[in-house]
Amino acid sequence: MDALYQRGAISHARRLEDLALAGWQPRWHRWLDVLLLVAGAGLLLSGIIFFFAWNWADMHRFLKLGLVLGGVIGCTGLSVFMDMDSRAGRALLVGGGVLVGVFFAVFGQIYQTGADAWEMFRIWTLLLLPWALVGRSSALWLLVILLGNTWAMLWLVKEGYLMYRDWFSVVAASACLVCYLLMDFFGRHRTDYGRWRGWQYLFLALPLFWICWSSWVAVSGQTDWLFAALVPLLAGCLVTPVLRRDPAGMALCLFAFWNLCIAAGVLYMVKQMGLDPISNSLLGMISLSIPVIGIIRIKSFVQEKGEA
Amino acid sequence: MSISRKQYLHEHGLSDGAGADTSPIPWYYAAMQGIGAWFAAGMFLSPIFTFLPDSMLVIGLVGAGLLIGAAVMPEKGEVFLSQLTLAAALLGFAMVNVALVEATGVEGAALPLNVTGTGAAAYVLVRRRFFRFLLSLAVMGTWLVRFHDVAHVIPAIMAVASTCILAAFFVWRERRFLRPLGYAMAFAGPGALFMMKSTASLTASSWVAAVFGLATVLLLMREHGWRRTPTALGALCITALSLAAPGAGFGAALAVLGHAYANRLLEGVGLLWVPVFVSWFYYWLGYGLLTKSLMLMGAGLLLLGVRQVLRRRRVHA
Repeated sequence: MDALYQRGAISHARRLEDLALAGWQPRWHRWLDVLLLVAGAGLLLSGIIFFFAWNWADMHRFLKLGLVLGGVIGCTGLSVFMDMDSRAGRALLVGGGVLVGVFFAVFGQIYQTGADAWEMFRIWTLLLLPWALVGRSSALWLLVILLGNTWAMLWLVKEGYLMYRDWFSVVAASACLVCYLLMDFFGRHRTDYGRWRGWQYLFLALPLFWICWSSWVAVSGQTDWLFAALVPLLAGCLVTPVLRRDPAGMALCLFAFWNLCIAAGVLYMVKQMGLDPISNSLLGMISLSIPVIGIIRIKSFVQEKGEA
Repeated sequence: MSISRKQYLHEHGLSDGAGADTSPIPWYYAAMQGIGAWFAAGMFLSPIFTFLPDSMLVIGLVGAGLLIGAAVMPEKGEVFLSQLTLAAALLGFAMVNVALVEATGVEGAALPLNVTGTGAAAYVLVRRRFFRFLLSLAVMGTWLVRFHDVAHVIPAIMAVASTCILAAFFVWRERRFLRPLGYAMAFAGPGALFMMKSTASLTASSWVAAVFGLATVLLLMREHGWRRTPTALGALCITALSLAAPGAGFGAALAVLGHAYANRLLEGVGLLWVPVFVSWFYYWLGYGLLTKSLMLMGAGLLLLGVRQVLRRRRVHA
């Protein structure tokens, strides 16, 4: 219906009528329920975080830690008691997960452990991972992913690996290769080896990214926000065909990705040579024709697939 | 009763293939094609500046040519061609305005008027939704940048945004070409508040947001036949939110509108603005951290309490 509406085949009124016929109606109760739960839990957790951030001097350290730990235990216990699959149960589990981080922050605040911020995010992420596996809640997974990314970002900034692109690329590529080999070693004994193998390809694709990313940082001299925004999209383009078990898609997306990398590299070299504008433009046109060839190949492949 | 897709299309007098070609390719192919198209746009369009003479007339004419080319290019739903056309149209629009700046200058309202005039012409000419969306944002952005230091420019932008949204989604909703304008204004209204850091309570913008929220709720009530008491309570909540944090009230009204019409995009935009402006509201609140934290906890508990009351009432009903 939406596709027809977008193409102008049916009117707005007709779309709503048909949606109602198909059983859709604005479910205001459910909408309000989710909204109030998310907003209420969000505000409450923010309040708790700010409360401990204020670092009340008169409050004894054991009381602070006890309150947060009590919150963690209370949230988790209530979540199990209330049914972890219910909306409130999942919200409580997320609340408990956030309070784990608050606990580490308060602990660091009291005992001045001297740990870096990325270390706190590392332990927080790793501790929440089993919760996410058990909780089966997308909100909890989102929290884990956000924390993991924050950990990675803080680590990269603090440790300055982005400045040493060669080392970083080598480390990242080696880590991925080790993961690939480990998965190969353990995966052979699994019954769902086919699916397991899909993930292996991911570890082959990831080093390409890190190499490309660190090279870009080295080339541009600073983090380019446009490219930073493209990284997750490109990652999705490489990972999704693997998850969908689409080997042709994987190969084509890798092909297009390499083309883009080569084109970017050639352009950079052209820029460095300092040629006159006309030669520059011509060389730019030649180098940029590489991704166009890749894209056209994808298009023809899709057409062939569609026709088949 | 359930009907098949074929029966559904037959009832509407549509051919069997209607709507079938909406998205035949996986998104990762489309994304790669889109990125490649922008690279290709760089290839085709960047040499223009190398070979063009310095004459502004020529630049303007080439820009107009690109716009006309984008207008006549048929839209077949191909990502590569579509993105290439979009890039050409945007460049053409920029070139025309650069030429006009040379001719008329940028003093007074010259630049915003030029951009608005050419923007309106391009909006009508080029039938591409995303291009129209970007054009609308560009026009509003130009007015904001040029007149940001003039009093009441923010409430004026909010009022224009409200009017455009109500026109696109209530009054002339069958005129699809207004949709991109409506979406752009859903970003531009609160976006202007955000960019100018104008988030104080009880300002002219607050009243504009409150009027927009009330109008939205009342129009929906009339159309959907909602009961008066819950509608009045909802309107009261949106008004209170608008007066305290105008962007949050505006966003809440957008979210309600989006949900009522199963418009996920509008709903998402609205729900995006609410936490942004609520966070900002707390950030700028002139109290200590302890007081703010207690207020946050109180507000959270209040909302959870309201949720519990509503659930109980529903169970008893």
